[in-house]
Amino acid sequence: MLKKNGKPFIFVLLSWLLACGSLQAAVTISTDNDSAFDSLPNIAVRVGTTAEGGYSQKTSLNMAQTISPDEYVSIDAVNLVYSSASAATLTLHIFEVADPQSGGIAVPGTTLVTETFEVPASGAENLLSIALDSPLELDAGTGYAIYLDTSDASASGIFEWRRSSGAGDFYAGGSFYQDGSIKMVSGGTRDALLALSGAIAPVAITVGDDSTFDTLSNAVLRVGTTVDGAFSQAATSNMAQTVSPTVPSEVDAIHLVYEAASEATVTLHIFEVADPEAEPISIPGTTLLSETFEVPASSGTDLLSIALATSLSLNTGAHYAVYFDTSDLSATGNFKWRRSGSAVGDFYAGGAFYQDDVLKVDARDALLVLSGAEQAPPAPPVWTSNPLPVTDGVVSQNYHGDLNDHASDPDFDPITFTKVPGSFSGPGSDWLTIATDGTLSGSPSSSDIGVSSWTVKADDGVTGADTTTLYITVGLPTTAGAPTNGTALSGLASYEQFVSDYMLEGADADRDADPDGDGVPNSSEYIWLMNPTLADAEPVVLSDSGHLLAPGIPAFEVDTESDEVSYLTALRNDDPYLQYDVQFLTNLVDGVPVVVDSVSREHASRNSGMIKAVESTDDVEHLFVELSVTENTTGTVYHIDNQADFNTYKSFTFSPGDQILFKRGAIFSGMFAPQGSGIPGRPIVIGNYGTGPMPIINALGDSVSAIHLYNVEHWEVHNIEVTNTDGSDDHQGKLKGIYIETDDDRPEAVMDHIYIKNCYVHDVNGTTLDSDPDIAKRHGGIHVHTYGDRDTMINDLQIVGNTIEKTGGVGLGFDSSFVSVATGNTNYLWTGVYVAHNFINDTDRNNMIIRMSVNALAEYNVLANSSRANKGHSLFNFHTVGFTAQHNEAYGNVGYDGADRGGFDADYNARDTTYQYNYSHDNMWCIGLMKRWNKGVAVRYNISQNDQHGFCFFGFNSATECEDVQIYNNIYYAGPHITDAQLIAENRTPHNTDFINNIFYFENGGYFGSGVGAGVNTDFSHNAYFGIPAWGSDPSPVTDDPLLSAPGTGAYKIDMSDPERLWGYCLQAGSPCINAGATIAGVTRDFWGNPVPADSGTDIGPHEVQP
Amino acid sequence: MKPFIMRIVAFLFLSATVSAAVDPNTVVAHFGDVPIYAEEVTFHIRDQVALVAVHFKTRHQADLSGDNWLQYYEDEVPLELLMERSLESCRRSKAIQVLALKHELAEQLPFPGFGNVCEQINAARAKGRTEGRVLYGPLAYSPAQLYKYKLTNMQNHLKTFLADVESQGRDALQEETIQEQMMNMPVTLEKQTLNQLIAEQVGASTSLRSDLGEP
Repeated sequence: MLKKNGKPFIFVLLSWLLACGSLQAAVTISTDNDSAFDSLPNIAVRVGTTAEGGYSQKTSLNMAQTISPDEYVSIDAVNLVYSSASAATLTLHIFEVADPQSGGIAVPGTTLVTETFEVPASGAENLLSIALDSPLELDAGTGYAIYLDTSDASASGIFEWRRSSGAGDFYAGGSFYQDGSIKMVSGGTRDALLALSGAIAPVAITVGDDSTFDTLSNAVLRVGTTVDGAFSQAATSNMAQTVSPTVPSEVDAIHLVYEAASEATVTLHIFEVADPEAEPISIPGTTLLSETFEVPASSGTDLLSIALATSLSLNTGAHYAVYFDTSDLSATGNFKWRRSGSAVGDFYAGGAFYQDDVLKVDARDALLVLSGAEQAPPAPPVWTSNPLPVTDGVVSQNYHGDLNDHASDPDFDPITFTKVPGSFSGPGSDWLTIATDGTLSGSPSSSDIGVSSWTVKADDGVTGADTTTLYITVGLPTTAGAPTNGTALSGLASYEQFVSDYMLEGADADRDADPDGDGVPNSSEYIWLMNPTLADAEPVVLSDSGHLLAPGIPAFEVDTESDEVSYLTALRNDDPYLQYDVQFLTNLVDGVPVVVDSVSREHASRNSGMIKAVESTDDVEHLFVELSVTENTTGTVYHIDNQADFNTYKSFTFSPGDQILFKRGAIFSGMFAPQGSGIPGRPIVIGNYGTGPMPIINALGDSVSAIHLYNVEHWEVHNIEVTNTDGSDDHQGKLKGIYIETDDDRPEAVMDHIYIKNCYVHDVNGTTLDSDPDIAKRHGGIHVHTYGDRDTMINDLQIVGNTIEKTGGVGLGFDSSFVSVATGNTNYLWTGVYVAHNFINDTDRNNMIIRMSVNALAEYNVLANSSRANKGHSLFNFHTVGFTAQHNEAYGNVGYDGADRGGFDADYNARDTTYQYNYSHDNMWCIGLMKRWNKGVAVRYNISQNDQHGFCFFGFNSATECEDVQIYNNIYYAGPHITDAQLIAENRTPHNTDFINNIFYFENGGYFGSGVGAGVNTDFSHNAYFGIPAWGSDPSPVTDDPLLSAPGTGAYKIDMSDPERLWGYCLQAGSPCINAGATIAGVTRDFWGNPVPADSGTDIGPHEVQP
Repeated sequence: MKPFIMRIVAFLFLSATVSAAVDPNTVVAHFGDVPIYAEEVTFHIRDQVALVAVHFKTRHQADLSGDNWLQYYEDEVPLELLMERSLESCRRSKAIQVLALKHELAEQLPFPGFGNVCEQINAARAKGRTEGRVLYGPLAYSPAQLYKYKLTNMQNHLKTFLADVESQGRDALQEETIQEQMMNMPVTLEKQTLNQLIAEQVGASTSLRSDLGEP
């Protein structure tokens, strides 16, 4: 129902008819620059927020945009972006439509608004604002058309209405029409740029027949069921009814039976009360709702319905008052609230009726219905993810974590956490303690290096428990252990921490201060791990320069047999910013020390052990060792300007904190293979400087890569363009663009912190047709490998924001020779692997392969045109534990062999793999599933559109080592141009696989695939089938049209820059898929980020309709 | 005989003058009746610079920088080759766009002003992110990424439109159609502007030798 000013529709119509009696338009026209459109204030309904779309067709075509507000709104102006070469005469119609997306639209005989006015010529592109003379109220969920009749436009008065950039960009409730038909633009629809100014109405008032009171629907709280009671006292008495909900409820409307001789102004308050029968009752300072509105005069006795703009949550165990303040009533504005005719408590014993703030003496309840929906029943706790994204453990360091960060209870009940006995699995012993409050603690040992797992349970003690698997990867510390003759501070030290630990304050905290008066300043006390508040028994001898001298300091030991000096045994080695400069001196020349050797090291952990001091010193007892320790936080900046610089530094050994900056606009040839490593907090960074395009490194096809980081760590590469080709289309060898490699020459077991960001890697190799994996799959754009015989792993690897294209081999790939998930050799899985926001296009083999990692995450990548020279899925994981791929788009993986050309692939030798929220389109398949050793695969909430052959491809068909595959809440959509699409590839047999809550939508028919019937332990349930018969054993199929909003509208129009471009796969109201799905534990949100479940049940498909 | 495009280049270098940096919204060529803006050509220039440098390094042992781009290496001038390849690549892309538009497979890419559109898209995506909405693909596109994203989708939709996907010949069929379209789009150039644009991209001087590009 639509009203103006809260009046019944008939009054609205009359007023408009009267207004139209003259030629004077009842609207006011104003124009502004269209750039103001995005920032218009007080917008109640908006369609589009940018002015970048095209214009509707020119000339005198009529145009309309339909809307369906999701809240009650009161509008006072219509704003749109237009262009008009000259003044034009238009007529605005606003009217209700039954279906805002129906195929045709026409102006009905009766409209809510019909106004003719003149629009001035636009300067260029203008904002047109049409102010209404009185507000217009629009109901939530009702369709309306904003219709512009341009038939009176003169020939020169061309009027254009600008469209939004994409269909459903900002408003999915309606459509744009031109001459009565939905406007199609290059295969899709568009919304018009339209903003309705006004406000969301706090409440909406409707008046009905009071005899309907007993049959009101959705009543979650009812007081009284008959209408034969007396009215409350007339005139200006305030009135209230208290209630005590028996079930938690979401209330969206209040209904009561009333009588009013004339229009009355009242204020509704809803607030909590401690005792529902205590008196007096009064309005507290803070209420849940306080709204003032006009109640129309009744026709005798009427039903008054007050719809709330925002629903109210009422909880069990609480008591509430519904209170009407009538103090604003005029003498004639009587407002009476009818009481129940039954005895008090007949229908509701939880409260009482009040008048003038005290209990009504002839105790009766008021007739009151609160309508809405009962809240979801109490639910057990849920884990937010599986596996849990917890931090890694470090050998000999205390582990800290909190499971409360990863679990929640829908009812906010406290959760008790426990470890399921006997669930531990790992290389060592069960080192982790899980406290009932969720605290994780323990200290892993070296025998625990690798991945440990536990089953953990979250229990709310009321409704049940949920379990998940906790994986923790244990690695070695990245710095050496604590010094032998000092007390190390926990973690990485800093001078600030030193000051804090010893509670040094004021001037005593200065580095030069000596609060204990022992002659050693704080800076030296810090370096030598001394106590700055306790004088040392043997003062340290300082040299004239202030440096600490070796004689007398036990940290230095001279071995006269070998002429070697052991040093740094007593120095702090846990501060990465300390730089040690060691000089070896003799006093053999005129009594003056002479430097015979010097060493500079930047981190104590690099310097422990023996150093050959003076090979031919005859009088070694005269050896001095002078040490200076400085803080070095900046490193050195190297500018690479030209080829000569490149050649100088291409194999140079760099130090922590160094920056190697290539000149923008410059081009270099050869391989840049620097040496040296950074340290925690001070990586060595390759970047650029200056202006112009990115610097280019061309490896010319005769080096392994353009950038080669070999057996180093703590490196970052930013904003460099690289190629590696001789310019021909020939296969040129095992080439990469950027190559990170470690092997047996590297002493440390952990290679830490490698970041490759925002680089442009292209034209690597020619065409690589070879099917040998060693040639085809382990080379290409950016590759990271740990090879050799000694166990090695990588930690903290980020490949982010790169563009990789035109590569022989694989665009982005990892590999290791130290891992086999299938055989349990998981100790050296890489950790902290993050691959995101990359654009990978046109690769001879796969776009991306994620191998040998635990809890790796690949997200927000675009994977385009994979496998141009040979087959292969666009993205697959291999030898991984807990891999997750989400929010990725894959397209264009088609070619001569239909097999193994899916957008995504849960490959084998993997455990606990999740592909979720991805979008696969225009590939041969959406998802590959390999039946070799592959345990725990979740493929959920993905959208597959026009993947040409079908949905699933099961690989290694004769294998049977595939366990616990869950495929749920996905949609596979095949458009009308696709024939013979298969749900599962022909002759391929699923194994231990469940298909649940999926939508299979075939516009042009399709079939299951002949192998499905032979599936081993394969179940279908709660799936929706359109264009294909339901699978025979599906116990709960949906076979009616699932009522998708606009399936396939993205077929040729998908634009990943449009945040909501896939709205066409949302369910419409009334879809048989709503609440028809099975509830699956551990799911928290749908493809669009909406909570799951939203109400009493789970929907089928990737969209969970929100109430 | 040098191909047509190279003869054009030869003339270009004779007429270039020093001026301010080329506005990306400037028309630098027409392919048929389709205007080509500096911004779009620049995407193709950037893709070709490295490969042209590879060519001169492997064939002539030349390290290209600054005015080296204007020198002869035997019978080749780097800037000429860069222009030739860039324009050919751009013309191919434009042919794909024209075909996609003709078959209503996509909307026209918003030149001029592509960079502004990219900024608006990124702003909308950033806003969406702050509002907790789900985004796909990179959170922020560079203009070059967005251009390639749209172009690759167009090309794939064209493939689907033109040929049965089962056919191995789908690429060939598409290529034939694209080549045919390119033939219908003869090149006319805004010579001075294009010349200046390319020189800017490689840091070369725009005060040019008169004999450059002569056969």
